[in-house]
Amino acid sequence: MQKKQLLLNLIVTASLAFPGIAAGAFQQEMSAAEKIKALHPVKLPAQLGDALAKASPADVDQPDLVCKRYISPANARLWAMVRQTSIFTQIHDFTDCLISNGYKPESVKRVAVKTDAGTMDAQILATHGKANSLAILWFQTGTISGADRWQWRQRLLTGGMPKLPVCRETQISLKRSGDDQQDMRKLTEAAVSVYRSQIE
Amino acid sequence: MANIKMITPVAEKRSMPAQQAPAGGSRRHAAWFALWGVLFLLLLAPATTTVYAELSKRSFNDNYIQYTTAVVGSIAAWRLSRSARTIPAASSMLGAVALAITSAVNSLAVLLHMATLWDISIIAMVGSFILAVRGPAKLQHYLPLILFSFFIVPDMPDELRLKISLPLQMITTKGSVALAHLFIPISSIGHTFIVNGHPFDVAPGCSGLNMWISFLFAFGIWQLIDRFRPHAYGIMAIGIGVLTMALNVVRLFITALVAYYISADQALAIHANLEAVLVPLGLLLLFYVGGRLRSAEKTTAA
Repeated sequence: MQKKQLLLNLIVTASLAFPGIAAGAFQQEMSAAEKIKALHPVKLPAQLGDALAKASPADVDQPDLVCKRYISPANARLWAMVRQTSIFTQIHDFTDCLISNGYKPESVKRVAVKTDAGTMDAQILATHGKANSLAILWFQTGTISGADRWQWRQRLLTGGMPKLPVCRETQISLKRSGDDQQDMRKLTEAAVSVYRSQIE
Repeated sequence: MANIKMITPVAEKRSMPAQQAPAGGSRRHAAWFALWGVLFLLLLAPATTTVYAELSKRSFNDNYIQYTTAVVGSIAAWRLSRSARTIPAASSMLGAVALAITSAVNSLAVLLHMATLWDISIIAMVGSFILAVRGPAKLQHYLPLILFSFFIVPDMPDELRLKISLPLQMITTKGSVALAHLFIPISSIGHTFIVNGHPFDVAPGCSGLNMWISFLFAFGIWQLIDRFRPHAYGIMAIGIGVLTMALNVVRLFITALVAYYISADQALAIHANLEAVLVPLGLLLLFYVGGRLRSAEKTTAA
């Protein structure tokens, strides 16, 4: 066999073998939370850090989650609307959504939002597995009707949201630590704190 | 995945001209191909369950493009592999480099957990593999199928979808408002137009993106049957985009007229049904223009 042909064959062989080897290696790394942390260190923005410092453990209590819309399960991407405990009790829908996408039930049940002032709507974007990030979008709905809320979310995402006074929005994101429960608690705490800091 | 079938090399090597066969004889050559076949299977085996899991979570209506692609692509792969026997084979170092690059991208997709990038890079790897071990003539032969295989990727990521749909929403709104303004009083804010005080939000579903994908899919199937001149692909890619936006502007223009002269409820009711008329019309236009860009040569996948 000519040297050039042999080289070509070896390159082809290595190229076909490498992704499989890499997948095996990465899979082992992803199974260890420490390795994930090393790969994706948690970096919180200053505002979020301050909010987290002020957050009270009492703000995070029992969950009350409503699966408002379940989008694009092919991407394992979930949307949920989190509301005040006294308003909604349909936790099972959202729980099913999360569990069907690999979240452990105990981590779902520990996600909670409890506010003592006003109405809070928060949308949690939980990205499972495909990307190493979790994000929470929230806004005070005030006079926004439920029917309009979907389009508001779209505008939030696309950056096309009009700057109306009724809407206060922020986006909080942090890297996944490998512990879904801890990540979602942090997001919830941050959302509650930022929300309170703005309405008080 | 349908695209895997086209790399089966055993039948093809029999027709390889002797002077172009790698040194060392056909037995050694077959051993390399067997090794590569096993590696491809190992690479794809885990993905089969993932793709099945993704598709099974969605309704049939959401998957019809993927299923159609699998069936049509399999038939095309079988026919192309039969007709490929007469095409001379030759290895290409450029293809080997391309394969190495796509392999790296595929590995990166695994690391970053990006399923769509993984799917796309696998198809690119198949194309690079054909170029590397069978040469440019074979790649050209299989190129229509490789291009068509991209439709098997389950879904566009939400971020990308939104980045495409938002400009489409804006363009469609501005176009339809400008047209409707010639006939009725109408105003717009962002991608919302207002008729008789009623706001109509041009949502992502109304952006025309689905219509665009439908036209591209129709052309994707067509180019498996007919051979097109190379520049036809560019013309059709641009033309389908323009056609989609024009039809969507017409759709929303009619919606605005109905909202003004009849009622907002009627406008909302009719705006989705208009696609049933406009899409076939668009397909006729597509076939008319595409027919003029065909090459005299027919593909053997037909």
